[in-house]
Amino acid sequence: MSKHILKELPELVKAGVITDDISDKIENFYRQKQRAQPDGRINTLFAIIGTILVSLGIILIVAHNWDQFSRPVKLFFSFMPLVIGQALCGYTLYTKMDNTGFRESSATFLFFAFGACLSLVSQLYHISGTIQELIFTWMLVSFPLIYIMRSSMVSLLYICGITVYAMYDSYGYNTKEWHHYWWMLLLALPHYRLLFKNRPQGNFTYFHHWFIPLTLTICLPTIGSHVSELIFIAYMSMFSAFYLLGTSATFYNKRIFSNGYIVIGSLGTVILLLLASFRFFWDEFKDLRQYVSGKHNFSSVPETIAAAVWFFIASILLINHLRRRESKPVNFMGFIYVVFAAIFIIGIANPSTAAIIVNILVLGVAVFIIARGNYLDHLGILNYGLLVITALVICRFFDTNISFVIRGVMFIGVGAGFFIANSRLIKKRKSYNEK
Amino acid sequence: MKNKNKIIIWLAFALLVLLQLWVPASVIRKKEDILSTGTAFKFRTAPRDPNDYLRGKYVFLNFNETAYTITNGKNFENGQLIYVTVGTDSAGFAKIIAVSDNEKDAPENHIKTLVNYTDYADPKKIFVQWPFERFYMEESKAPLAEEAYNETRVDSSIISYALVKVKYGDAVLENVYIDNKPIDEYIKKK
Repeated sequence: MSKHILKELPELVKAGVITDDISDKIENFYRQKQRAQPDGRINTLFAIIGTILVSLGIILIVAHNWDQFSRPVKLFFSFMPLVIGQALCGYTLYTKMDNTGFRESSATFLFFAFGACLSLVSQLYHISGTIQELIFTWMLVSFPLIYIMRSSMVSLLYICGITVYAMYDSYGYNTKEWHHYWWMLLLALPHYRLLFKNRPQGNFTYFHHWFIPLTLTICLPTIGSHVSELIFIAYMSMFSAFYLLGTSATFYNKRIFSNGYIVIGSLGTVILLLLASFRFFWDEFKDLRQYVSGKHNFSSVPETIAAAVWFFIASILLINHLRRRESKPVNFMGFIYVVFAAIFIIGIANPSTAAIIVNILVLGVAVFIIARGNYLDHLGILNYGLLVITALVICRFFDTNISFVIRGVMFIGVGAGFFIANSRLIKKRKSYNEK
Repeated sequence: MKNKNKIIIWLAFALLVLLQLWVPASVIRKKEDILSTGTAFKFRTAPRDPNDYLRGKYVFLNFNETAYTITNGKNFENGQLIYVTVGTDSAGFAKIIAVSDNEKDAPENHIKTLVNYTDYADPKKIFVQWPFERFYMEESKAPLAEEAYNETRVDSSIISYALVKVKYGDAVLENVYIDNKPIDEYIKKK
C-alpha cells in the first residue's frame, strides 16, 4: 500500500494536488514506518513455512522405515528431532519470546517433532492403532504449546489436527468418542479470544476467523447419525449464527479476507437452501417420519441438542443485531434459520409444499442480496445475488417435470437480469460521481 | 507478578517436555518388556500391503485364527472390549482357548482386544480383531512382501505366520515369517 502511495506522489505534486513539502513529509513517514518494522511479517511467514516444510520432510523420512538400522538407532533418531525441538523452545522461552518468527517456528517444529516421534515408535513396535488414535495423542500432548509458546501457528495446526481426527473417527459412525473433538476444540478457544482481544488486526487472527467456522462446518455431523435429518436445522442455525456474527459491528467493516464468518455463513446458507429446493431432499426424511409416527422421544438425541444449541446462539445474535442496528435496514438473511425450521416441520408431513416454499425462499434471499448490493453500492454483492438466482435456475434445469419453455424463459430472464442490474448500478455510480 | 508468570510458564514447559518424552518412552518400555519376557505365539497369517500417511508402508495381516464360539451363554456386541486367552494347537500355531469380558478371568497369556463382528446367522460365534494386524516395512519391501505372499498362496505347503509376544493383555508383533524365514530374508532370497 505504502509503495503504491509513494509511486503516486510525483504525479500528485505535478498536478498541484499536494506541495513538495507535503510530498516529502509523506515519503518520510512511510520510510520511517518501514524502518521500524524491518520485514517482520515476511520473515515470520518464511520462517514458519520453512519450519513446516522441514518438519513434514522429517515425518516423510521417518515413514520410509529404515530397516538397515537397529531398533536402538531408530529410537535415537526418533527422539533426536523431539529433543532439538524442546531445546529450541527452551531457548526461545529464555531469550527470544519477543521474536514472533523464532517463537512460532520453534513451537511449530516441536509440534511436528512430537508427531514424528510418536509415528516412529508406533512403526517400530508395529502398533496397529488407527491413524486417528495417533493424531488424538499427538494433539492432546501438543496443545499446551499454544499457551506456553503463545503460538498461533500451533493453534491453527491443532485445529486442523482435531478436524482430521474427527473426520477419521466419527464421520457417519455412531462412535462413543464423538465428543472428544468438541472438548478439544474448547481447549483452543481461550487463545482465539486472546488473539481477538490483543491483535484484532493480525493475520493470525484473520486465519482463526476462517479456521474456526470451517472446522465447525466440517465436524458438525460427527455428533452422530441417530436422526441425521435434524442436523440440517443445526447447520442452518449455525450458518445464520456465522452470518450474523460476520455482519456484526466487530467484523463488518473488515475486508472479506478477514471475515470468514460472513463468507462461510452466507455460502453455507445458500448451498443448504439450494439442496433443500430439490424434492428428493424432503423425500429422504424416512427416519424422522418413523421417529415422529413411533412417538419416540428424540429430545435427548445429539442432533436435537446441537440444533437447539445453535438455534439459541443464532437467536441471541439476531436479537443483538435487531437491538444495535439503529437506522440501518433489517438484515433478513439473519432470519432464515427461523423460516427454515418452520419449513422443516412442514416438510416432515408434506415434502412437495416444503420444496416449493424453499424455492420461493431462495428467490427471496437472492432478491434481498441484490437489493443489499444496490443499497451498499457494491457490485460484488449484487452479482452474488444474481449468481444465487442462476444457481436456483440451474437446479431447476434438472427438474424434468418443468416444461422446457418455462425453463428457457427462466434462463433468458436471469441472463437479462445480469445485464440490467449491473448496468443500472454502474449508471447510478456515474450519476453520483457527476453530481 | 511478571516473575511469577515466568515461573508458571517454565514449570508448564518443563511438564510438557517430560510429558512429550514420557508418552513415547512408556510405550517403548512396555513393548520392550513384552518382547524380552512375553510368551511367543505363531499366528497363521496372510499378508497384503496398504499405506499409512504418518507411519509409512505396512503389510496388513489377515489371520486364520479369529473365530470363537461362546459357550458360557454370554452375549457379545461388535466393538466390545474382550480378553482372549491364547494357547497352541497340535501344529504349534496359536489358537483361541477362551474369551471373556472380565480381565480377572483371563490368565497371563491373554490379549486385550475388541470383537470385530458377530456371526449374523450364529450370534454365539464372534470374530476377534487382533491388535497386531500391521507389520511396518521399508517402503520398497512392502509391495514385494505382498507379491511373495501371493505366490505362496498357490502353494499350500508354504506356511506364513506372525510371531507375536504376549504378556498380561498386551501383545507385540515381533516378525512375520514365510516358509519359516523372516519375511525380509524371504524377499531377499526371491
